[in-house]
Amino acid sequence: MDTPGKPCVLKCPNCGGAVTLRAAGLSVSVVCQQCGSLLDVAREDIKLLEKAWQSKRTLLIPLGSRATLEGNLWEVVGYQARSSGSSKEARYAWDEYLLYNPRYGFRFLAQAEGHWTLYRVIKRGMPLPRGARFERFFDGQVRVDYVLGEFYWRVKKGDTVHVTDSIAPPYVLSVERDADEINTALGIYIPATEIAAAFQLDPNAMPKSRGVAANQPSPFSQRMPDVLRIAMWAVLVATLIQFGQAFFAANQLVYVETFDVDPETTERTHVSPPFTLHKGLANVCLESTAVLRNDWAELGVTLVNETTQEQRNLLQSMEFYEGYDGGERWHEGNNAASNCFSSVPAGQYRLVLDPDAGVFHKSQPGRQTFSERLYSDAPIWSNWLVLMLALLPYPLFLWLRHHSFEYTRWSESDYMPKVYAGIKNSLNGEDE
Amino acid sequence: MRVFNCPSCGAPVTFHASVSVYAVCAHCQSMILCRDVGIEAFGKMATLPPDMSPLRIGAQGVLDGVGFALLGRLRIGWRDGAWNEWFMVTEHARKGWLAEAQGFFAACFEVPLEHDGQNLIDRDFATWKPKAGERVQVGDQTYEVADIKQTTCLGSEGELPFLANRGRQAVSIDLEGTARFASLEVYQKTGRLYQGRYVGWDELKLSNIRPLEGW
Repeated sequence: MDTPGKPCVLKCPNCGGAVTLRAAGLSVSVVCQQCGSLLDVAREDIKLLEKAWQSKRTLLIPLGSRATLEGNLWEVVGYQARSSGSSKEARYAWDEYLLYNPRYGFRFLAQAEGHWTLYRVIKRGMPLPRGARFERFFDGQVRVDYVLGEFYWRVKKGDTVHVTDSIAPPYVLSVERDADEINTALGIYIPATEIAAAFQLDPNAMPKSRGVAANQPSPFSQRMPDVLRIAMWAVLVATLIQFGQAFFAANQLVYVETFDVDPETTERTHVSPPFTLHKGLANVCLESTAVLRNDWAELGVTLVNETTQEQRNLLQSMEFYEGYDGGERWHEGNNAASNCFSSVPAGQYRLVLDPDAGVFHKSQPGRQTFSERLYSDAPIWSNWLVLMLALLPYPLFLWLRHHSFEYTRWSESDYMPKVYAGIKNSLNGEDE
Repeated sequence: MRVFNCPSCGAPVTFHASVSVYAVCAHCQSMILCRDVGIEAFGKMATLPPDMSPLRIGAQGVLDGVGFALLGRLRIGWRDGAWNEWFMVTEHARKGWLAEAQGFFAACFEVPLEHDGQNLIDRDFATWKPKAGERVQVGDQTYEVADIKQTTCLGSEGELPFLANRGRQAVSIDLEGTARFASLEVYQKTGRLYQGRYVGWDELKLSNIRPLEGW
């Protein structure tokens, strides 16, 4: 037969209107767009199966519309409205458009709650997406509520099939069983904006997307593995460096002294004996402890290089308060302080300590005791701690958002993972 | 290649493949049977109903690196529809079928059911009443009956390896094996086994295909 292939136009045996068969040769059932009669076109003769079977309905994507999806051109040849669940609350309804290309066969484009999925039928031996691990999401009866256009199978009124959906977002694997056969289809989530652009639909007329679709990819799942991996490596590397430094730090005690300061009898300023810092450009850390009881003390610390007279300063504050209140003992503050000078060159040094204390300012001033320990090249954990605090919040935020998204997804399923189900139960428990 | 004049209208009728024994005259639709003694015309074949198939007689493609050409077509009907079986011959003179059904293409080749006079299938086609789910042994392969269809030939065109007149009735049994699938056709108490796989349009690299309006 050398005549070019073209759609077949038939005359509806009921209303006489034109019925276009866009998938002529493959289509078995057709519903007349004018009168809604169900016709059988499995053979050359058209059979009228049921007059005015369907009422008229305007479709979001009219029959005959075309769009390029996944690189191929498709034409809408059929439409079904399907639903699952019997009670009003549990009823879940969706649109299913049958798409046709004479060379690439059929696809199903489903729309539910503003979320779109493109399905292809999977035959035995056809590969599934590499690495996808499918988890059971839905299992139940699915009904056909409304039909328009043509189909390559026999459409029966009130057709019911048993459907099992398993998901590995953006994929969904849908297995449909009836008395005669088992059909498997693989769906992939397609953003509504892509559908609107492909079919040149008004973006404002698209159904509003609500909730999380079964196979909607988590917007966080893409970034999360990378972010978690990078954060993990950063933590690991920083911690290794930190431990290395702590291990190799000399941590040499160069000066120890306990002294009293009594402003009545002695000079306030206290000068340490000279000491030598051997390691160049290492830190120098001073641990000070003041003997305090419901009081405060301060030390103005100056590190003086005896050769160059170069000075470095810092201030240490200590305070300690305690009491007995309402049957409970309390205390606050810290009578010790630890501070470091960083990158101090090697050489001969002295410490000049300029103390002040609460006890000095009392009507009968007393003395204040200080204990000093000075370390050269001490291990420092504060940088590491700051890095951890900077590194961890974003991965933690992503992780929480991701699981919140997954929780919303699985809230719609009877197969919610145990962890989420536990959270759901505890939330419900609090509500009651 | 053998060329005859159609006994009915005189137009040339070509048998491209040595395995072809039957053809429909493209000019007058006469059914022509090729025998040792010559050719014989009998009755007319109705024109096949129009469809959107992208295939046609004369189309050429490649399957697993081997070229093939489509020589004829059977239109097969069953309870819930119809499909096309395109008769193909490879450049190695192997005969096979390219099935076109429900938007899928499947290529298959006949597998002999006899070897050295030994029957390879553990069934007698004269008495067998196949049931879905039963196990069938063919040589060292075990299959399970997946589907049984009563089929009717709705028409044919081009050249074919057997006489395919309208109304020819057969039973088509889909077999699923652990490694592959197969199809068993039982016609008048004889069975033919076909093994094959699904093929994608792009994979076949078809040329001389049928033009489709608007596509």
